[in-house]
Amino acid sequence: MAEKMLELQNVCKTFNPGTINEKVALNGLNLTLNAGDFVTVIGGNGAGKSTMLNAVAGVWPIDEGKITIGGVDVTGLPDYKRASLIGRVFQDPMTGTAATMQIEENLALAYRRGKPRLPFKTQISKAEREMYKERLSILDLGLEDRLTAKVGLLSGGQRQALTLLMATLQTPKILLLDEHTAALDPKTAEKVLNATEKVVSKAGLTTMMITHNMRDAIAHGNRLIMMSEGRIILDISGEEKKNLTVETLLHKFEEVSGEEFDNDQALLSK
Amino acid sequence: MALISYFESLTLSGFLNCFPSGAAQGLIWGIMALGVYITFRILNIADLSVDGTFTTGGAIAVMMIMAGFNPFVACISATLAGMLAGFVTGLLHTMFGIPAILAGILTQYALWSINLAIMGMKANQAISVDRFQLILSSRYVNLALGTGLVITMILIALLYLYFGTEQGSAIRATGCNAQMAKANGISINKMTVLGLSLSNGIVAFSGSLMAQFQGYADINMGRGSIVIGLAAVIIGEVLGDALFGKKMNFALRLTFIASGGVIYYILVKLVLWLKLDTNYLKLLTAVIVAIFLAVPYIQNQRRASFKKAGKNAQKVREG
Repeated sequence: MAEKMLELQNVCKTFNPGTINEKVALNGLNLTLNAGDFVTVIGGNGAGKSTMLNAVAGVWPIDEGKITIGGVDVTGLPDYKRASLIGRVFQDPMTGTAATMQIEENLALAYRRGKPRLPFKTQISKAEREMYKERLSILDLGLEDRLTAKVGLLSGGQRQALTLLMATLQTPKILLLDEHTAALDPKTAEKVLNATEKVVSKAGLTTMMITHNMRDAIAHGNRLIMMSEGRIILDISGEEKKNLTVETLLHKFEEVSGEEFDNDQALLSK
Repeated sequence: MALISYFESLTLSGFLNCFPSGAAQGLIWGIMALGVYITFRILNIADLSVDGTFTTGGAIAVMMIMAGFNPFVACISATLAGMLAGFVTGLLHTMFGIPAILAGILTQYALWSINLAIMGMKANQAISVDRFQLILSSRYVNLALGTGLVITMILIALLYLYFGTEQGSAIRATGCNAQMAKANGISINKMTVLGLSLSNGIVAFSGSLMAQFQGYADINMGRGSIVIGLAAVIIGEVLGDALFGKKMNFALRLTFIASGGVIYYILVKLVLWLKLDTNYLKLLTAVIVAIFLAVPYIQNQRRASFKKAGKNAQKVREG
């Protein structure tokens, strides 16, 4: 009875087909997310995690299959046309915000996601500014007092938190987090993760979060998927997910893949 | 002796006399620079179409005024034609994947033929202020200066308001961070085409003013205008940053860029007053622009360069 928020059916994507660099990145991927699901995604380098997120976001067209977000078939839409359904936070803190523009200008751009950009309408009303202040105060970074500061003056963590806010200002059907704390120092990463947890649970957002940190993958969300060679090889949810430990996860991985988990980074970080 | 007679021939009144005309011409180039600013700084594209569209603006204005049209109608038509040219550059760039610089060059090249056709296949066409009603003319320099000033201020106000709107902000975001713009549902192709059209419209408008001011349109009047436009942008920015630093807002920036055109033209008049060979004017301009474009890079290098790191490493060995 749960509403399907995201559906990937037999999604295939090959990069550089017919060349020596040919790489099958997604190989008949199937995934269904129910409304309110918070899924963490893990897997080794080149497993297809980011490719999956980019396919959902519409960075490039997929070769085969179908992608549905909130009941809308988006397979034929480029990224900016499906942006109204999607909130995105990138790995690089520089990617999600416009550095030469003010904090409130960035927020105003995000607030108009999916709406026509009219030439005679001024950006920010007074009521809007109040709303931005209120939302920014949730982040607990003091940004609410710096609305007119240029975003380029903010730290990586602040920019990432701002991107998170921008991605969720217009409630998206799905929130895509692509290792959004990987470029931050551990303390800042934790802050941004806490902010993520707050924002996601407050709005009950359907979320996909890629992480290279197994502990984070286990600690957050209600469902965990592991990818390898462009497919999902492990899908854990419910009670099983709650009781998961790093050891059992590794054991499970070896069981399904028949090989040892080769990503030292995933094992060793924290 | 030659030197003494040279200095004797330089009179202050001679310089002061050409000052208003230089300032008026500078204002027109300042308007052109506002157009260049939109592509060069806001969209982050070096658009070379402007060399062609400046002439297009002048040609259309002169031919329409000669045909009996009101000069305002002629200026607006020139602006629209410039926008069309910018639109073509934009399409070449976004729809057909041609690099922006090359797209601009292609448009500029094509415009040479089109401009000749507009001028009835003649390399220049003159309009006399005695026979036609013009918005400004070098015959009445002070009046032209006043008119130019009012037009520039109106344009700055319009641009300031426009880039504060939803659409204007979307253009700024596109130039600043295309990936962010797309993630927020902005069509960067559409915004790039829009920005290029707007920019070339303004450039053609300034071309239409220039043709009226000098009393003729010439097939070569736009040659090198991108460099003059860049010079004005850079002079204005450097001056503005020096005077206002971080307090510089968008309206002030636009004002300084328009003044950059005036300063550039007063420098030109100074060179003429000193009776230096005007053949070297283009060389001088290119050198000035190159220096100012290089300054930020060199400043960065001074903060952190391999040369400096190498020197520091030597200290460690000796240390």
